[in-house]
Amino acid sequence: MADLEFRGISKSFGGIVALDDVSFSCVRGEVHALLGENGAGKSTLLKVLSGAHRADAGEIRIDGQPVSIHSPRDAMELGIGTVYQELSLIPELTVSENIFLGRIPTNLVGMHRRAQLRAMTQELLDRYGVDDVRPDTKAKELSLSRRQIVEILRVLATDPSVIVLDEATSALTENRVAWLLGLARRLADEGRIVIFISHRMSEIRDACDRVTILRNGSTVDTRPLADLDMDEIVSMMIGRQMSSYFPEKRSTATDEVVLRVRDLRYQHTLNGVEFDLHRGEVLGIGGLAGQGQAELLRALYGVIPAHGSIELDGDQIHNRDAREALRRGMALVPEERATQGLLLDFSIPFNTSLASLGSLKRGLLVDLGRERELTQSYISQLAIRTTGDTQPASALSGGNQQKVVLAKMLATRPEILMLHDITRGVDVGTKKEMFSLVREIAGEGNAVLYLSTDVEELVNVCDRVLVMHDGKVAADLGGADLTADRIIGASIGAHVEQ
Amino acid sequence: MPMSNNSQDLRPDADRPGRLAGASLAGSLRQWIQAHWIAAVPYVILFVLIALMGIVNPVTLRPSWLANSSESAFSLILVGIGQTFPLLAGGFDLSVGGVISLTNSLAAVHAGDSPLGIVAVSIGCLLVGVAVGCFNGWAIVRTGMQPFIVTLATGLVCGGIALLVLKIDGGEVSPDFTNTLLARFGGVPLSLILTVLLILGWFWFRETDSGLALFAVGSDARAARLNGVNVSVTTVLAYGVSGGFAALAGIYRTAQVASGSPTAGQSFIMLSIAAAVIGGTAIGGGYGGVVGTIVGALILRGIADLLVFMRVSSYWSSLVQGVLLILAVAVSAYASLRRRARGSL
Repeated sequence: MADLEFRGISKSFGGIVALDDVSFSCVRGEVHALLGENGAGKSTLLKVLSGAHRADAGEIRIDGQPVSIHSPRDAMELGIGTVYQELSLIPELTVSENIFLGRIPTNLVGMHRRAQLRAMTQELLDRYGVDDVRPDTKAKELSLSRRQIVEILRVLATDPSVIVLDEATSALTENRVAWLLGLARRLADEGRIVIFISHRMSEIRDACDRVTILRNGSTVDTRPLADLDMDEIVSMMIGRQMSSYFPEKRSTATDEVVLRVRDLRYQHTLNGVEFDLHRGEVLGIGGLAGQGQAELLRALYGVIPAHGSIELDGDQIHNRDAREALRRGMALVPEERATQGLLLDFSIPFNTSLASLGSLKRGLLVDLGRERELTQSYISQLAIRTTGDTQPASALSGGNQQKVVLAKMLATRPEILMLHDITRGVDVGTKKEMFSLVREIAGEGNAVLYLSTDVEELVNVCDRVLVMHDGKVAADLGGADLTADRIIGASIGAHVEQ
Repeated sequence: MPMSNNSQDLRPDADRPGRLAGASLAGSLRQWIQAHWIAAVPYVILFVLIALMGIVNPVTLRPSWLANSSESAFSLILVGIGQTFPLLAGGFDLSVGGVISLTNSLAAVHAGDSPLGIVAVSIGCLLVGVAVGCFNGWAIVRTGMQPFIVTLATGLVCGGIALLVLKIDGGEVSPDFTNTLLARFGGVPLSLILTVLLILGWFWFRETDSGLALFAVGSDARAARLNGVNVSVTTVLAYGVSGGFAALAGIYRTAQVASGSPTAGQSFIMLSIAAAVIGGTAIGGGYGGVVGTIVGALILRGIADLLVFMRVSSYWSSLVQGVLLILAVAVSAYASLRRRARGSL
């Protein structure tokens, strides 16, 4: 008997079909994975479930009864809790205010009972084993990983019977991912339905019982995970046999040192980083979150003022800002594409040309024809899915937005390309394209610094991997040493023999 | 997945080594001061200002003078308090000038002599202010127009109506009107009592659901909406409060000056924003409060007085106020930079 059932859900936006007759069902006590490429309709389906969108046709049934969900409030009252992919905490409010907003206990004159609120929050934190978040901290002072945890707790605080985790692990550190997967299991064991969306196959394997696969807005199938192997899942998702998830690794690294970094220091986050980057090399940067990886890229890009020696092609350099870095052929694809990488309200050509306007100038003005040509070439090279040139960047899906950021940086013709977790929240097909692209860029004689939080990716895409720990390079793994075990070992500070 | 291992697992994610290792009292006090000293800046400025005035002219420290200055600053305090609401919601209100001019003119022309008439006209003026404010909020929410344009326009309209009501400065204001609003209770002026009540009211409001909604909307309207906050209602109310307080300022000014002026409000537009910002309210919303605004208003009025005592031309007071405003904005920019630096990178 199905406890939550989607029946023939359809939804289109101005003629574009997002969902076409989607039907599947979930039962209490299971962790149900929802898989599909970006644009397959997962987000739209969840927005229908959470009341953000109304379906054009079809119905949702809970315990056999059709329910009408017209607003997020309706969904909440029906016990449907959604942890959104985009973070939605209010920066100036405290952790406890964010968690209980709208349900804070008040006294006779309507004032919040602070002590009770704090106790409720502490109780929630304790119940779910979160001991490094405090109730009175403002949301904006939390790290990305902790903000994500507070998002999850906020949904759990409503005691929902259906919990939707939409890419909830993408912002979490490795330990927290384990915590969340354990939590998903525990919630299901308590008799709830957990709908789990992730682009990391290993997590889905670890956490989920059954999987429903969506493709182009339709359901492909619902199957127990134990019956499927990864290749089957991937081919169901993309509708064609994928030769292999990762591209064949053909190292193009040379002995020529492009970038030599010595004793790089910044506040408490970089404590003497040293490495060489070679022409044609894809150099991975891994480690637990917050060990200085982000700061390393930002320091090289000139966004934060670090001390130490940086040599580019044998010359001592010092990038004081991003302009200088770009002029020297060093480009960075930043961590948060939506806020740091794109001007969301502006068109795709506008965004694509932004970092290379100097080369598109005719007289004093930007040559819009050449801007369009440039954009078109990247749209086809990177297979960016858009409905037109004038579309604002905000209308693109996450994976396509990431491609636009990448196109913008490629348009500067960088010699050293720094990539900050470019596959975060991106679907499998796009990931695969990006892996091949990274290898291609290196193959053209450039060098790539590839920061990733995904160990498998580091092993399969990079020639060499620097594992960072406490602001230093804890291990430099290449050749036969480049294994997932070694990377994880070095991440947690286990001794690595050279 | 073993849940019990979490405390172990968390360590690599901790902010700084030793952060959880029971900080000493002195250490936590130092941390608190480091995090909050910026909020104390307006109070320190006010204290220094009062000290300077006491040195230049000891008369200013007498209770009677303090009572006088509380009355002279009260109009600005009222407008400033109102202005704080749209600022906290992430906007601002340029129509307060027009509302003050309009209510000042209406009260001066229509109040008459009977107590009933005075009360009725005062209530009418208040309703006019609230209505203009709510219209501002509604137009901003409904049409998505910038607060700048909407409130500029309604301010101009109100100023225009004020000129139709009262062509030149004047009007007849009953002495009863003046005596009531400038009443003193054992030497304590009504304005001071009301200021204290308004501060208490703010402490109450800040802790209500509506208060939290105001901060939420100003901090991040999109996130607030996702969290079920009624952004539209909150915005409309914020501007309604601003309009209402501007009307109160107009009424108070009528009693204070015992006359009406169709251009009385002009100087209050920028001064009210300046008072809130000097008092620590963030332009862009989400941070600040009414108490700071009152301090900001006292600072702005105090500077003007100090310059008079120092026999400096009053033309200088605007310049000094401007410099102070830049400093306040610089301090608040520095504060938000620091806040951001303490958050994630």
